Amino acid sequence: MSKQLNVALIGNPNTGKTSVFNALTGLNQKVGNYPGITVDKKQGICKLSRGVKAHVLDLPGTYSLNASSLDENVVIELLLNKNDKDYPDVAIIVSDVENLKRNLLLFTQIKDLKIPTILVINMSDLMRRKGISLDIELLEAKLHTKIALVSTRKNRGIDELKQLIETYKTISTEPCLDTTLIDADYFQSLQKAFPNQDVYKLWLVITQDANFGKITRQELDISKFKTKSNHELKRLQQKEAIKRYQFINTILKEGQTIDRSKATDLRSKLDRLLIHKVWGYVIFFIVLLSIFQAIYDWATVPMDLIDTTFASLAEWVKNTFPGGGMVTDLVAEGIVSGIGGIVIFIPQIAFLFLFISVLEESGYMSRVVFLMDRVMRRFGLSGKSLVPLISGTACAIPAVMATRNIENWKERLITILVIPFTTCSARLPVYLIIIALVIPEGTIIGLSYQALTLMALYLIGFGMAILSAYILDRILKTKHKTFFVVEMPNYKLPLLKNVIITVIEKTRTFVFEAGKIILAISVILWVLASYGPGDKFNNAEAYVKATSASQTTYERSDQVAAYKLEHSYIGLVGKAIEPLIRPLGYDWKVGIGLVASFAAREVFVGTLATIYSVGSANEGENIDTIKTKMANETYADGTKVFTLASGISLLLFYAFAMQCMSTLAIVKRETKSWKWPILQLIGMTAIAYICALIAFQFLK
Amino acid sequence: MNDLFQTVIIVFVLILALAFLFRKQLWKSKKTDDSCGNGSCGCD
Repeated sequence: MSKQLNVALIGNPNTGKTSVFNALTGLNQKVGNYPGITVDKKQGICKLSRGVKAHVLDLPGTYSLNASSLDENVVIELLLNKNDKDYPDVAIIVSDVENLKRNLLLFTQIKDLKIPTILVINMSDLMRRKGISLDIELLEAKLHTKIALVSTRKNRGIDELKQLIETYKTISTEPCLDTTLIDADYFQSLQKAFPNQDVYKLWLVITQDANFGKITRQELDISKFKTKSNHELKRLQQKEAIKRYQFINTILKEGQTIDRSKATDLRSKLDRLLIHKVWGYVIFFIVLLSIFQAIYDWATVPMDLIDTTFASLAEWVKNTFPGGGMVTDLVAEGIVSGIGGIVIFIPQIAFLFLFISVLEESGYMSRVVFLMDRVMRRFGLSGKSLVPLISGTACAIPAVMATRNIENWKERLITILVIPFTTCSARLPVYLIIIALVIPEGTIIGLSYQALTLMALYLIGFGMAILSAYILDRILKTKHKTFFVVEMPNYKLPLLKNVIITVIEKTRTFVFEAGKIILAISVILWVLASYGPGDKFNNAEAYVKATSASQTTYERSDQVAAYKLEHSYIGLVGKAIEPLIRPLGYDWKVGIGLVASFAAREVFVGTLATIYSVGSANEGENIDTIKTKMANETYADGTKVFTLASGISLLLFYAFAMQCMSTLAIVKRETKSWKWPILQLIGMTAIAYICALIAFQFLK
Repeated sequence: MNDLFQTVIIVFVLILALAFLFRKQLWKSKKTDDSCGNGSCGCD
């Protein structure tokens, strides 16, 4: 049996910790550039030589062991608990060559826990450009550690790091700081009370207890020790930080040389422009415009190809399957149409995440966070709310979880409540199909109307989030104030591997995770649309014959299919809610889509694709694509169902409505109460209904 | 294919789809991490 050792990957945010994790394990994982992206622990296996395997744990980014947020606390909980199955045999502290001084604070703290610790100095490829030189031997001797100079970008130093992991037993566990120097009397009395325990661990347990009041004391029972007040403990923590920085300064004075005259620094020049109080916003706006324009320009061809391919496939199934009948219809109209409704959005989702990933990787996203903070503050949100709000453009679930690093409860609650307004990827398929239906294809100054509409929807979602936050801030009162600190990483060329991993992961998640649900719902909807109760459904042909004049076979067949759908089980549900949605400009078929998509928004398009497939595409007739079928849909009086008015109304409804059961579930869990998700559901649905109503009544 | 056989296939596919959608309620989840658990949101 092969040996396995536990390796914990720890570091400040934005040190490239996740890139080191990717390089060690080869696992696919998102690498971002703004702080707080690593929320949960990630694990992977790194194969070393001679059959040894390392179980690598990628812990959330933390600045020190004096944690103030829940995800930072995860690191300390693990390092203090030797009984934890993930307790590391060796800790790897990832630092970045430009911020070594700050990164070493965390290093010295972990080193003092007497865990064998390796220091990784990442981004070593930037050293020459930044005029930095390091005396590695001296640093290793002073810090009692082994150092790996790594560049994940250039794929350098990873093999050396693996060798150091293998020989971790040779690394000294001598601490960096004599803890008693912080406060001799206090620490001596602490040691006296618990002679068999490590004094620094005791100190961390006490301070964590002061910060969180709920640490699990699995190993250390300090409840009997008469400790200091929280205020005194905070003062001692500050003293500890000062002592550590004094130690670090002394070492870096000898081991690190920075010659700015040799630096060819583009960063400060770019920063001046990108976070400029006027030009910063102009550039951000242009970047957004370019992204949405490119999504439309580049994705059209593959989307049309996919659409016609699936339409032909459905037709082929109908003509080829033996015997025809209901099973053939189920495959052609339920399964093939359902899968088509998923696959068609792959190009646009892939392009969107390609751009988002490039922005994150390049370091520009952090500048956007900083830039937008000026605006956000005026609306009562914390600067830290920006990361969850931006994450919400992918999915509200991890975004709600990412609010855990907001210390202030009120700010965290407001952020949680407004996150679902930001345009998540599940809304994208709905937007794309409706925009394609109702927004003309023309351009203005080279920008297509459709791209502008998509961008407007993103801005409307973000705007509503800010406005709601402003109102909530006025309603919910608190006296606490917080400060915004954001890390500005260096600009760098996006790593192609990371960008590709992000695009593949996001697209794969959509296709295989959301897709499975969409397909299952498509099948159920097909059954509900193909069967119905009573005589009107079973004898539809006789009813149609009796009510309409002589028609061609195809016309008659279409009328029978439409009559059957209207009297099917799903038709009855749609008809029941029609009075409620008619003022918004929707017919009962759209109503079915709204009901089905309460589970998840992306189900809407698949639902409509299934509903509109049922009863059309008769043999010998040219099969229509999903878009054409929806575009041709009319009311009994011949007027179109999808017009500019009803389309805008539908877009606004989806922009604001809380159509996601999973988000409600996660909000309940994070707020530990049903009160907030229920209020969120009612509030968002009301806003969506009112906005859609006004839009339709105004535009019709 | 006769009608009975077709109906049996359709009912079977329908049960499969329903069982997939309500799998969390039908089988107790072993998930203990922080993901939402339904798989559709992209967080797990």
